[in-house]
Amino acid sequence: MSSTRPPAIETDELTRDDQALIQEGVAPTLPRGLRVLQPVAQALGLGGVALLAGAIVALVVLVGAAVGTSPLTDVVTVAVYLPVADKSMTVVTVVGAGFAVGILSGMTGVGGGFLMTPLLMMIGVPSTVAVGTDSTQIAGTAASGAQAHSRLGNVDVKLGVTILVGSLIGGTIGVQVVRILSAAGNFDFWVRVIYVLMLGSVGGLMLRESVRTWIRSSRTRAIQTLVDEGFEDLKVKLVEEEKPKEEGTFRRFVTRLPLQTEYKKAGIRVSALFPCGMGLGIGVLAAIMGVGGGFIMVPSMIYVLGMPTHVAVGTDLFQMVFTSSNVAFQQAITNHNVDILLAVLLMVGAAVGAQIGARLSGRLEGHQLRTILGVIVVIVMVMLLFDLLLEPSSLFGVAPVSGGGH
Amino acid sequence: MRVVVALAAIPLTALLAVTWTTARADEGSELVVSPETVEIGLGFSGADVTIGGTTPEGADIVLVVEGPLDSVKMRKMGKVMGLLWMTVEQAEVEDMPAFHIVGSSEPIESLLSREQQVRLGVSPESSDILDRAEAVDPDDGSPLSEEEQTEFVTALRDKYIREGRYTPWRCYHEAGAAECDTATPSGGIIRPDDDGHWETSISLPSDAPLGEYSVEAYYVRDGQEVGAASTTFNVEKVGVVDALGSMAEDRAPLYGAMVLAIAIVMGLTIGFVFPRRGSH
Repeated sequence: MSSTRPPAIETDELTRDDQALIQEGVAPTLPRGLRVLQPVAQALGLGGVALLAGAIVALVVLVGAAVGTSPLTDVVTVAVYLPVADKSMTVVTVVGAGFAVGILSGMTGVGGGFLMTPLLMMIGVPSTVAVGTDSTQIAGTAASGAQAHSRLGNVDVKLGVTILVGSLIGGTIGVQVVRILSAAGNFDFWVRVIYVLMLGSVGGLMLRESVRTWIRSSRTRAIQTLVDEGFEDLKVKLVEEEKPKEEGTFRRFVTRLPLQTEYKKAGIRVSALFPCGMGLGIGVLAAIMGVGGGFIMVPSMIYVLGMPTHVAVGTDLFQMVFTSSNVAFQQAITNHNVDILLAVLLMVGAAVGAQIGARLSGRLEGHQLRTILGVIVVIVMVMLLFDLLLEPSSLFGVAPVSGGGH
Repeated sequence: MRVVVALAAIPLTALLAVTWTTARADEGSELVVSPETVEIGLGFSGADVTIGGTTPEGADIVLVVEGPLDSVKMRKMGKVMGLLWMTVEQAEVEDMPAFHIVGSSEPIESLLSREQQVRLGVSPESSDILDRAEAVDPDDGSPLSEEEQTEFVTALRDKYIREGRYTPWRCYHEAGAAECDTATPSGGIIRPDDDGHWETSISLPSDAPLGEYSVEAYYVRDGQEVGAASTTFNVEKVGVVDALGSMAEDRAPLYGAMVLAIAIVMGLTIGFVFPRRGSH
C-alpha cells in the first residue's frame, strides 16, 4: 500500500531456517543437515545430551533384547518380583516407563498420571496397582521437578500454598459429590463428556494462541532485522506489534476482590481468594474424574492468573507434591494397592527424567512450552474421546478401583 | 472323664488313618509333588512344579490341578445413549479357582462320560467350574440373574485362559500343544511308562495366585474310576517380598507413609546429585 515500503523484501520470504538463525543471533555451528538438532542440543546442554544418548542406547538394547540377539539380554531381562502387584517385572521396562513420563512432567508440570496409569497397564501391571502406585511416584517426581524448577527460580511457594488450600478442600468436597451424584445414574457419562469438551477447548485455545505467538514473534524479529539493516520506516510497525492488550472486564472484577496479595515470583497481584477458588474447582474436578489437575491447573495459571509459563509449571509441580501425596496415602490405607518396589523403580527413571524435563523447559521460550502443553492436552482429549467412542476389544474386564487425581 | 475320651480318640483316629491310607494305596499310588512349597522371593519369575505317580495296570489317568478360590470384581462395557462406551454393570465373581489345569493320557471324552466329567471337575471348557462360581452384585452381595452370571463367569474364565492360568483339556488333544498356552510344557498329555510310572510338570506364571493348590489324579479303566490320589502344594511369599506384602496389608498407614517418604526423598536426592546446569 505504502510507496515507501521496500518492494523486494517481504518477511514471508524468509525461510524458517533463516528466522531461526536471526533468532539465535549466531552463525550455524552444526552442518546444515543437522541444524534441526541445534535447539535440542542447546536446551539439553552437554550433560543432558549424554543422558539422552544413554537413554537411546538403553532403548536400542531393549529392542535388541526383544529380538533376542543382544549379548546384553541377561542384564536387560533382570526381573524383580513386586510384593504388592504379585507379579514379576523387568527392571528396564519399569525404569524406562518412569523416565519417559518424568521428562514430560518436569517440562510441562503435567503430572503424567494420565499417561502413567495406561502405560503401566500396557506393560502388564494390574490396573488396581497401577492406579495406586502412580500417585506415589508422581509425588516423588513432582518433588524432583519442583526442586529443579526452584533452582531456576520458577516456584512461587506462596501462590502454591494458596492453591493447595483450595485444592485440598476441593478434593474432599469432590469425593462427597461423587458419592451423591453416582446414585443418580449416568453421572459418569456426563462427567466424561464435560471433561472431554473442557480439555478440547482448553487445548484448542492454547494451540491457537501459541501459533499466533509464533507468527507474531517471528514477524517482529524479521522486521527488527530489516530495521537494523536500514529500513527505518518499518519502526512504526514494530511499535504497533508490541502494543499491550487492553484489560478485560473479568480482570477488573478480580482486582476488586478482597485479600489482594502480591505474588512476587509469579509477578502478579491478585486476591488470594482467586487462586484458592481455582484450586478448589480443580480439586473437585480431579476427585470426580480421578485424573489430572495438572492438565487444567497449568493452563489456568497461565491464562487466568496471567503468570509466566515457567513459573506456572514450577508452582504446579510444587503443589502437586502435596496433592498426590495425599492421594497416594489414601490409596495405601483403603485399597492396599501401592507397590513399594514398583514405585521405587519408576522413581529412578522419573526423577532423572524430571530433572532433564525441567532443564528443557528452562531453555524453551514460554510460547514454545505452551505449544507443547497444548499439544499434550489435545492428545489426552483425543485419547479420552477414542476411549469413549471405540468399541472395546473385550466387553468384559476386571474393574479398576476408583481413585487417583493428580 | 474328658481325658479318657481324648486318650481313647487317639488310637481310634490312628486306626482310621491307617485303614484310609491303605485303602487309597490300593487304588493308586501316592502322588509326588516337587517342590511342595513354591517360594516367591524377589527373583521369582515363575516356577515349574513336577507331579508324578503310578497308574494301576491298564488304566488311564486324568490329572486336575486347581488353585485357591478367589473373588474378582468385573465390569461390563456397554453403549450409553447409543454413542459412548462406558461401564454399564459391575459384578463380583466368587468361588472361582484362579488356576485350573487338566491333563490326561487320552482325550477325556474317550475316558469318561459326560456325567463323570462334571463330577470330577474336568468337563470341556471348564463348564463345571462355571457352574460352581457365582456372580453377585458388588454393592449388596445379592446374586445376579442366571444369564448375567453366565456372562460374567465365562468372561473371567476366558481371561484366565488367555493368561495361561486355565487350560481346557480339549485344547491339547484337538489342537496340539503348540496351539495352547505354556502352562503345561508337556502339552497336558501324560504318558505313563511300561511300569505305569508317570511324571508331568506345570508352569506357574510369574503372577501365580498365592495359596494352596490341590492336585487330584483319577485312574480310569473301561469307563470306570478304579482309583484316585490327591495331594497339595503351596505357593507363598518369603523374605522381603513377604515382609513388604504383609506390611502393605496389615500396617497400611505406616507402609503408606514409608513409601511416600522414600519416593520424595529419592526425588529430591536425585535432584541434588544431578549436575546443576548443562555443562557449557
